[in-house]
Amino acid sequence: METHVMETQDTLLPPVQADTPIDDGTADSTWFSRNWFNQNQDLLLMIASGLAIGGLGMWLSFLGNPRNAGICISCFMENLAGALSLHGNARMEYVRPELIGFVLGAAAAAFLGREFRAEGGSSPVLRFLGGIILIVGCGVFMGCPIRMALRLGAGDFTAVAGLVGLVAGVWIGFEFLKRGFYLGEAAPMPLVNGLMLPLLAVGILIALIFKSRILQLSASGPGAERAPFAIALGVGLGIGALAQRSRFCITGNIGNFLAARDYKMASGVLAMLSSAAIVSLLTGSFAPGLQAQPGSHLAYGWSFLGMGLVGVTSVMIGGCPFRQVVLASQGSTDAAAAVLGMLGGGAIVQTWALGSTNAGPTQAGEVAALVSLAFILIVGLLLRIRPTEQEA
Amino acid sequence: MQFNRLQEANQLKYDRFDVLTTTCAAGLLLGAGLVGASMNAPASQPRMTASSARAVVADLTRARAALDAGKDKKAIDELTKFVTSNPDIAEPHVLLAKANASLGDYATAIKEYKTAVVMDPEYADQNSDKYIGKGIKSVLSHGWAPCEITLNPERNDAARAAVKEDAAYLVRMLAGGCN
Repeated sequence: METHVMETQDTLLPPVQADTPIDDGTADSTWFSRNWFNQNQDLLLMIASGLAIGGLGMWLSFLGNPRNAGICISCFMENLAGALSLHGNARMEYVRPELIGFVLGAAAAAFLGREFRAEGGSSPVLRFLGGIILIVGCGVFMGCPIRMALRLGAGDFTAVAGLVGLVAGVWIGFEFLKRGFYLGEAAPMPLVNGLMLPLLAVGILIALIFKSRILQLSASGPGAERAPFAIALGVGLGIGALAQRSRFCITGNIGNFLAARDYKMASGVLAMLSSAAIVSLLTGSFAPGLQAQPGSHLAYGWSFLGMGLVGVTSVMIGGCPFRQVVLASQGSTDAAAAVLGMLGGGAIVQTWALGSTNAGPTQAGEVAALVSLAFILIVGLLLRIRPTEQEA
Repeated sequence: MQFNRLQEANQLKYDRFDVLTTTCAAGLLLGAGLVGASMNAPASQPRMTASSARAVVADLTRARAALDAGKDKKAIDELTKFVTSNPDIAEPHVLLAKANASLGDYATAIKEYKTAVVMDPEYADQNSDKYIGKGIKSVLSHGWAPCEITLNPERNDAARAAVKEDAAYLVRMLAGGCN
């Protein structure tokens, strides 16, 4: 087969590498598909992530995870906090292998893609508090944004209030960003800082596999509802890797769609909702309505407020709870601060009974949500960069 | 609008607005702390002595025996007294629910089941030994229609709505989820 070297390259033509062998008659169609794939890689990855999270999330529920909560970062954090004896609710103690999988899958994908960068120093304490506030908002609503999508996909119309609240919160968050809200620049750090969270995840995984006594595991309640270990870990690894490559973030997707009408970003959320609905239909868990919805309540105003709090906080700290886990896994110590805040939030929500129950939000939860919202709005007003005197 | 991304902390310029919002944030956190401090901590439970524990078991056994013998009204009387003196124990509410369901008072049965499940969610957990979902579903499925009819006519709509709310809560609890 003859080879040749391209001297010039027309931008309209497919890029041809030096010494590329001249192909036979099928070259055109191959080029088209490859070129189309390259041009739409981001879109395809985003859709694949959405499909995987929605579909596999519902499947995990079918395999044993709590109903409509196959994947829920806030529930997983509360479970993890319980397993580490950070709260006393014996029904919420388990190390979800999915969560460990998210961390390790995203870290591996970041290493392979040469995107693992240890960096931080952008308002870590505020991000830690932001992590706590995220779980408070999720607790009041009863689920993180992913669980909200799973609930919607399974026909739980009570989650619509949460969706509206999330969109409103994201919109408010983006308004703050447009007006100069800024948490500061992240600076490079020694690699070990970025590796700490994945290493912690490995340690906890080993403790789980060998049934270490440092971990408490529920005998009943949601903590005892588990998908098979290997499947849960495998799903977590796959989704973590995919989400790292695609930069999947529910609040980011919604925000970019609102701000720039970026349909590519919205496609991920739509794919997630669609696959959740399809899998819930296939597994027989689709039950449209307002009553008899697992892990839900009918206090729509508080659902709106809870998810609104999650929306605005997520935008301010740079990603939804799931995205914070992925970012922390690829070396961001700022996101790791938020993840540790979420772990602390899981403990606080359980210990102080801030999380809603099927009966509705608790009084303490209502107070916490309002105080958190006021706090986050004040921070949003406070941390704005104004034009300097020269620019003014 | 162009913003200068400040790199150095000492370049930050504070104005009166910054001071005001910082004060608000600090005041808010302080206020939250005070609210938290003013919330009554749950009263510590008096430690149950061996003799009082024996008395509790004996009372519950007597109530159960009355229920098994079909003496529902007697069981209700005993359990009501028991609940008054032992408000933190969930089991008598389950027995009260059963007794009231036997007598056809489904509204009260639903309310008692809700009280029991709120106090101890294990009653609605399929993986738990305490699971009583069958009994609850029975009251909800067989009892709901009669409940609508047999609700005391003097009861107002609010009472009716409260029963419906309790029933909806039980249905959601039995559906599972991460609650």
